[in-house]
Amino acid sequence: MNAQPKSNGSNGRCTCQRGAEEALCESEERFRSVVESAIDAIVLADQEGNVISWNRAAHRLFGYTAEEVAGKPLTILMPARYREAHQRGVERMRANGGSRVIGKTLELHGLKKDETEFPLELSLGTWKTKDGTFYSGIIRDITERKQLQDRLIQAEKLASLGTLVSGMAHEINNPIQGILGMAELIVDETDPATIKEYTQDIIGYSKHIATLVHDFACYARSNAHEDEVEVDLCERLAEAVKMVRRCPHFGAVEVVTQFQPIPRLRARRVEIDQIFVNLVTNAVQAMDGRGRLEVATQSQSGTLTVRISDTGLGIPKELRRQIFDPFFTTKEPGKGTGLGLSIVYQIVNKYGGTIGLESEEGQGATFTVQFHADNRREETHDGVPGPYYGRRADGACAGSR
Amino acid sequence: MGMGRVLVVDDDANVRKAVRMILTKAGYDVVEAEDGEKGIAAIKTDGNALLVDTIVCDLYMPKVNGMEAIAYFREQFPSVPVIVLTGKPDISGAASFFRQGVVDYLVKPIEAEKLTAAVHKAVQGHVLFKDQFVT
Repeated sequence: MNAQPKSNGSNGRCTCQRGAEEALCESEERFRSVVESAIDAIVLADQEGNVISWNRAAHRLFGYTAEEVAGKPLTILMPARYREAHQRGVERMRANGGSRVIGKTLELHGLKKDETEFPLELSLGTWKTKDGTFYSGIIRDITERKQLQDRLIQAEKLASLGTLVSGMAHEINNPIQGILGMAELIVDETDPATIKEYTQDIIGYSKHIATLVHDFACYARSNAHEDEVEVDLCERLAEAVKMVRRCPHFGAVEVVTQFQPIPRLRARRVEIDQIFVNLVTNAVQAMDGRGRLEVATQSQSGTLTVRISDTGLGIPKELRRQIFDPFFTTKEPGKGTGLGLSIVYQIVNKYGGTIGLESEEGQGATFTVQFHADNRREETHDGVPGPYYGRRADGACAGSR
Repeated sequence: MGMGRVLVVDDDANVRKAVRMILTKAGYDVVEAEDGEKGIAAIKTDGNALLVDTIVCDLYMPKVNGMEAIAYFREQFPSVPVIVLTGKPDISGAASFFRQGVVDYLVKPIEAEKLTAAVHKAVQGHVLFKDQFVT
C-alpha cells in the first residue's frame, strides 16, 4: 500500500514512538494490516480522482503495482465508456458534495493493465479532512460469480428446452394422429369428394407440424437478434394462453381477453413467447386453478402495452423489489429456479421495453410490459440496465415471482 | 345403435375428427367432448352412464384435464372402460392409470387398426357386463 502521507520507512512501517502520535501510528498499523491482508482490492483516491493508496489485492486484480498507479487518475482502471460519467461525478462531488453512488454497491467493469475487461462489484465510500474530500473503493472481482450465473441461466434455458421438447411431442403427435387417421381412411375410400376432404385435412395438419418445427428451430438457435420478424403481440399472447391452458395446473381458471389492435413489434417470436408464457404461467400458478386471468393489449402514443393480470395471492410489498432478481423465488425448493421473471426482464430489456408490477396482497397482481412501437435497441453505456431497471415511477418493480 | 357408443374426450379437434371417422367407419356411435368438464357432462347425459360403452380420453386438456376426468369416471362409473389416448406418454403415468383400472394406454399417433382393436375389446367387455348385470 503506497502513497500514505504519514508513512515512513522503506517497508512502509510507521516509525513514531510516543503519546498521541504513537497511538495514531498504532491505529495506522492496524488499518494497514487490514487493508493489506484484504482479499478485495482497496483503492483510495483524492478529490481530484487520483490514486493515493493501493493494496496488494488491487495489484493482483488490476496488474499495476502501487508505484505505477500512485497519483494516476482512477480512469485508467475503467473502460473508456465509463470515463466521462466518472469525471462528471467527481466534479459534481467537488462542487456540491453530492453523489448518487457513495454508500452503494455497483456492478461495473474494470480494466486491467493488459487492457482486458472484467466484471467487478464496487462499494464506494468517502471521507473529509482539512485537505479535502477523499474516496475509498472496495473492489471485488465477480468474474466467477458472473460465469456461474451465466451457466445457471443456460441450464435453466436447457431445462425449459426439455419442457418445450416434451410439449412439442404432444403438439406434434396430435396433428400426426390426424394425418395417420385420414391417410388410413383414404386407403379404402372410393368417393372422390371424401378423399379430397381428407387430403385437405392432411395438408392442413402437415403445415401445422411444419410451423411447430420451425418455431422449435428458432428457439434452439442462439440468442442473437437473428430471425427477427414483425411479431403480432396479440397473436403471441393468445398463443401463450393456449399453451399454458394445456398444463394440468391451469384448472378452472377463467380467461378474459381484451385485445386492441396494436402495431407489430420487431423481435424474435420465440423470445416474445418466452415473456408471455412465463408471465401467464406465473399468473395461473398464483391462482391455484381458480380465478380470473385477464390479458390485454393496448397502443397509445407509440407505446405498445401488454397487461397480464391474475386474481391470485398477490405479491407482498417487501418482495416486489426482488422478484426480477435472478434466483429469487417464493416457490418451494425444487419447484422453481427463480429465473423465469429474470429471463423475462432480460428479454424485455433487450428490446428496449419496460416491465412493471402492481399488486395488492391477497388481491392478485398485474404485470405490465411496454415496448416502443419503434423498438430500436437502448444500448446501455456501462452494462448497467437502462433507466427503468427494477422499478418504475410508482415504485413497482420489474422482475420474477 | 351400432357396435356400441364411444365417448371421445380430446381438446384437439383434428384428433377428435380422425378418431370419430375411424370409429364411425368401424361401426361405433361416437360422442365428442373437447375437455374433461364436457366429457363428464356428456357421460351424465340422461343420467345413465350405461349409454356409453367406452371412453377414449386425452390427458392434457384445459379446464378439467384428463387425469382428473379419468379419476372421476373411474370413481363414479367404474363399469365404463376407459382408454387413455395421449401424445405425451410417460411410464409412471401409465402405471398409475392402470392401477386406477384404465383398460388401455394408447400413444398418438395410433393406427386405425390398433385403435379399433382396443376400443372393440373394451366395448365387448362392457357389453358383457351389461348382459350379465343389467337386464
